[in-house]
Amino acid sequence: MPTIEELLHAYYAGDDAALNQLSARLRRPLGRIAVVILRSRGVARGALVEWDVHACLVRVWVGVALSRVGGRARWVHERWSALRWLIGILCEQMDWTMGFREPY
Amino acid sequence: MARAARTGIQIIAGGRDMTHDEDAELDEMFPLPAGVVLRECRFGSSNVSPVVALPLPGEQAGTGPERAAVMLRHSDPKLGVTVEVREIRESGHLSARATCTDAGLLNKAEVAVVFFGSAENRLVNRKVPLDVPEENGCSGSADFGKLSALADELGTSLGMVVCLTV
Repeated sequence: MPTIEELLHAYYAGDDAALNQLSARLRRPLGRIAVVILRSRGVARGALVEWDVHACLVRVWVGVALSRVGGRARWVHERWSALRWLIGILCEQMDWTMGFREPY
Repeated sequence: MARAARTGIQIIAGGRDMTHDEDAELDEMFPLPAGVVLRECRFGSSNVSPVVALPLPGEQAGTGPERAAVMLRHSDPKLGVTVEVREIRESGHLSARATCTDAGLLNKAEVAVVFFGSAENRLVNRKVPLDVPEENGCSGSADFGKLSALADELGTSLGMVVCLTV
C-alpha cells in the first residue's frame, strides 16, 4: 500500500486517481481531527452536527487540487510530511469556517 | 492502548500508514459523534474552470446594465459531470445547474462546487443535489445565493473546482 507521501507525489506527477485514494484513506482520520478542533474551540458535543465537517474536508482536497493546477502553494516535500501539510490545510479551513481571522 | 502506542512507533519509525484494521481500531477508540457524516469525495481530472473577473462593488447586479452577467462553466469528462453557474441579474444571485452521466447516482450523490478567487487560500463550498432523472444520467440545480456575498469572501475573481460527493 503506498504511503500518503507516495500518493501525493503521484498526484503531482499526474495520477488523478491518487487524489481519490488520499481522500478515501484520510477521510475518517481528518474528520476526527476536525471534530477535535471543534470541541477544542468549545463546540458542545450536541452541536457538532451543526458544523459541516464534510464540507471542510472537501475544501482540503480542493486545496490540494489547486496546489497542482491552480497556482496555490504546493506541498514542500523537502520540509513537511504530507500528513502534516494536509492537517495544516484542514486547520486553516476550520479556522475560516469558525470565523477565526488573522491577526490571531 | 499498547497496540496504539506500537502503531504510533511504527508510523514514526517506518513511514508506514494505517491498515484497514488499525483504522477500524481508531474508530473504536475515537468514534465520530453521531450525526457527523463524512461522504466519499470523487475527483475526476481535478482541473479548474476558467477564472472570470468579478464585478467591482459599484457594478453589482442591477446597477451596471452594460456589464455581462457572470458565468462559469466546467466539464469534467472523467467524472461525467458538467456544471454551469450563472448570475441572475435581476436578483444578483448565482444559479447553478449540474448534469451527471451516471444515472446510478440519482438521489445518491451531490456535485460539490468549490469556488476560489483572488483572496489567498479562501474557498467557499456550494452543492447541487442530483435529484432529477435525465435520459442520459441525472441532473440538479441550486441557488448559490448572492454573488456579492461570494465576492466579499473571495475577492475580485472567481473560478471553481467540482467533485462528486457520494
